[in-house]
Amino acid sequence: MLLTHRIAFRWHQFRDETQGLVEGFQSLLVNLVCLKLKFPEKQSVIVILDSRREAVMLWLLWLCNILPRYEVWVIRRAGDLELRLQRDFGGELLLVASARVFCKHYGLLVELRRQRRLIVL
Amino acid sequence: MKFIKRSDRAQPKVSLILLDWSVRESFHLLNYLSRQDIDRDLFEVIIIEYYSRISDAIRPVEAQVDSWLLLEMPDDCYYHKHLMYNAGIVTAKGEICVICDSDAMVKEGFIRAIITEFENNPGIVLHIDQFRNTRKDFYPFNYPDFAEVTGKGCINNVGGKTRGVVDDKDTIHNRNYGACMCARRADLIEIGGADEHIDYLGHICGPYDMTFRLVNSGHREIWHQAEFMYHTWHPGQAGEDNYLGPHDGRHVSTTALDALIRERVHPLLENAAIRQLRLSSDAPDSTRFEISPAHFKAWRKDKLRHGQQWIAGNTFRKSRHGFVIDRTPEGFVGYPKVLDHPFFSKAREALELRAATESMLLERLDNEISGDLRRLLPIIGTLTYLSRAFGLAFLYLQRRLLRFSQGVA
Repeated sequence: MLLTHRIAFRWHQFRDETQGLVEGFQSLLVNLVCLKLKFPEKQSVIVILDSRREAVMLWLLWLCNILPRYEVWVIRRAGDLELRLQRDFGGELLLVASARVFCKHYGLLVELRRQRRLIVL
Repeated sequence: MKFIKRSDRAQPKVSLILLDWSVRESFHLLNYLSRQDIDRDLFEVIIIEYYSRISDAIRPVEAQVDSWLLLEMPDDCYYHKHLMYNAGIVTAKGEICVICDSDAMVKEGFIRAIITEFENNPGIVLHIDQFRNTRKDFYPFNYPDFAEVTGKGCINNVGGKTRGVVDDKDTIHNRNYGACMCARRADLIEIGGADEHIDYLGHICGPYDMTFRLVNSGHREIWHQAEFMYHTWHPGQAGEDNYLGPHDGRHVSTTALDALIRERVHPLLENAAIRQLRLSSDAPDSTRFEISPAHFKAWRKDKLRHGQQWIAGNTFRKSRHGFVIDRTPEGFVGYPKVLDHPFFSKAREALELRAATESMLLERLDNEISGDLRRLLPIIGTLTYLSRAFGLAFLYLQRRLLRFSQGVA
């Protein structure tokens, strides 16, 4: 492949992937705000992400009083998720996973979706 | 549509479906299939050619081919692999359909491993990963040893297994879903076969569309831990200059990912022959395979935008800033995605917004986002771009430095 082709290929890959990340995270934020405003009684929420950057942004949004302080799991490997899921949650807890983390670990999360209240945003 | 050859194997257990769209230079998998350690009657080989070419690469190993079907699609139509998958599924006589690379190497126990896995695990969809070697001296294919393919130049050998099978960090991108997918024919028919939607036209496609929908329908996806395929470099293997449908930046179809997230089981566009098999209890007849006349128009090459992503707009349902936008007979309706979940669906009617046109609805949805958050969204976007750019630059420099310190040019 020519060098110019390789650069163009990498640029498109970077742009498409980052745009997907941006849109996915925006979708998560808008829906978390909707949960907070429209369903204030549903406070027991765990947010499952795959990126520390996104976890920091959620924390900053809590500091700005835009979002409640949710428990956030940053899952890098399927093994981490398996460990966390061994915990006893209680009945009322709502798990919210980003679409990206769901796709990365769908083997585990599809099972979880059948057993618990799991929302993919 | 024309059969060059038809299988006369009475009751094969496995049907291998191999594809070509007048591009394959080598079908060396067929040589390796001739050396399998099980009875040859236990499996059949089906070749599906998208256009009308009778490939010279098959002629030397034609004895290994049981069914050879030319779909005879017009030359001005772009290739759609899912149509070929469906042709293979309809043609197959075996209980298990195997969709795999035709230019890969397999060991003698390959077919036996597949049969054993299905005997031991009911209700599965099985994938077999692939070792990939980038050495150019294996091209044109010159029958290297398996040890040579997993040795120098192999990009994913981790202690005798592929990196994708060992690593659990990002399986969807690290494993090769297109290398080899095996599922029961009855299960594939039950989920409506491969999706013939235009989003899968060209390079962004794969049997994982069916894998995800099989998982949604309750099947268990497993990856073989001991059996692998072996692939050597050839030009154009990464789909360079091919038309790309909507994907996530790393060549995984976003339409297939959406099916996984939304628990969709049936395809957006089902093949008529598959539907007939799904709904009728008659014995399947391979001559019944049908190609929708609408495809001849929709898949024309002059309608494509080479090198650019398709703007996925063919479905009525769209997504924007976390809102779902649906088209109704009266106009458009939008609501936060979270209301899609059955847990919140009761509140949906009260919270959804309606408008006569899409632009009016988008304006109303934007106003639904609180002022603070609306101002922050572009900042978050910019920060994401910058942090990824710095992160990737850091990784690149780290790798260069590592290579430099190891004395590699």
